[in-house]
Amino acid sequence: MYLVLRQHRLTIDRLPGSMNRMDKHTFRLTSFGVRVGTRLEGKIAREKLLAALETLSEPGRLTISLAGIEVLSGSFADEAIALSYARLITGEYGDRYIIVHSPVLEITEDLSSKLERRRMAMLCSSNDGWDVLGLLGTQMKETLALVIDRQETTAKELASLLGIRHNACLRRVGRLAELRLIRREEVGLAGPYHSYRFFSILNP
Amino acid sequence: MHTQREVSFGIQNSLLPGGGVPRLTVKTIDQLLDGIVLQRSVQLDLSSVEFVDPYALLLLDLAVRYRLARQLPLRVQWPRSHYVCGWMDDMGFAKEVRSFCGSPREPHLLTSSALQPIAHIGKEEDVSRLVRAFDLRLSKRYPLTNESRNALVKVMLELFQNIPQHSNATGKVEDPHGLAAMQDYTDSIFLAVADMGIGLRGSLSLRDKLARITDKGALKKVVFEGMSRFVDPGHGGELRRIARLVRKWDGLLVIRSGEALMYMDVEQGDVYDAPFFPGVQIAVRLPRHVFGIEAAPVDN
Repeated sequence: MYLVLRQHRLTIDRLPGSMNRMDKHTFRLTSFGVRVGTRLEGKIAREKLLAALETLSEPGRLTISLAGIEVLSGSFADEAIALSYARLITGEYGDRYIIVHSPVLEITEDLSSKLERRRMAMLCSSNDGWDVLGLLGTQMKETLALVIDRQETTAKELASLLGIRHNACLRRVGRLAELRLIRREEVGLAGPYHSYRFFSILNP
Repeated sequence: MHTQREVSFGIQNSLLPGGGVPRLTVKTIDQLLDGIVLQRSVQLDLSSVEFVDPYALLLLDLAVRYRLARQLPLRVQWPRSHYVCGWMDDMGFAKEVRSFCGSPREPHLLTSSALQPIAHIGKEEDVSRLVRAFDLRLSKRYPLTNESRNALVKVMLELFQNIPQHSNATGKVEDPHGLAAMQDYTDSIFLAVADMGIGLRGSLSLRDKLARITDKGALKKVVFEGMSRFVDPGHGGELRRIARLVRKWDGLLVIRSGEALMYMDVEQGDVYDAPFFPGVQIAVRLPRHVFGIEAAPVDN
């Protein structure tokens, strides 16, 4: 038990910084091996990953680091990452977010395929920038790119930049927030309606 | 109806492609299976066999176990070729079947080129360790690139874990006998994985609306549509991805289950009728250039 707890602590690094005032941790997948693995191993990783997610203050972001990983099988990826993400987007973990960091995107191919089968999408940062794993339409990706680029924005500003109607833009950012690809914060009321600001969950 | 008379089965030269040296391979092993499965008393004549691939070896192993489970007598006439006999011995086949049908008469003296002997795949907990052992065997023999090693490891992880996860999903099979073996040739690396479980039809038929699916239908759904016995969309798709990978690498993929066999190489890819055998048996043959090993002229 002692060893397990010790290993678990080693997988999480508290990172300094307060981008978006988010509590940020990194969960290193290499603590389960460099070539992972089976569904059974993925299930164990998921339990630890969700436990790490719960330790974050809200708003918080957990980065699953694939640095050092040489093989990420579809089965392990689905069990450990995709299923964790599926729980996240139900709202079970409140104002918390998960992203993947992989130095090279090739490693994430099977994860992306599993996310696609589940009709989900995840943000992945890499040495070359960022990408979306899984399934996300072109227009949604375009909107997401603008939010990431601006770090913080409003639907009104986005609608203007995208050249679309405000309501159409609200639907897009609403969906991106549901998918946990951006963060939405209520900032007050505009007449009878709630007013929101939208934040990138990636570092600048 | 079964007969009491012992029936002798052997590889017939005339039925072999090219009519050449008798070889037990993905293309010829089915000639034997029908007889082994259906006849009451069998003498399996392998005396003239001069080559056996890992897929055929695993099917032979399972066929022997199939007969043993049904208390059906089987006598094996071992290959006359010392090299083939030695290879089968080094691959662990003689040890596997010794208690059922004896060993070769003389211990072999030649050193064979056996790469990875038959390994048993039981619990899912053991899969990663087993994959590491296979990887180690291969990487000790060849200076492989990390990229190619990792690609093969991924294939093995998925194929091996399928056995504990699916081969006895109904809980009705006493022992699905999951097996794997690997051999290198001058032009390729050959991985075989086999079990005697419920098969793809048995697995998919656990889903609503698929209770009456055929072996061929199940094989197509699994390989071409990425379906699995789970409704949860995250499950399944592994064999489809492996098929794409093998095609991309100009390799060979054979998946056999029940009465259906999918044969896919550079030139073709389709599902065919096959003599019945329970479970799922898979052959993956990848050109050596995929692993960064310089290819020598083909000799097998």
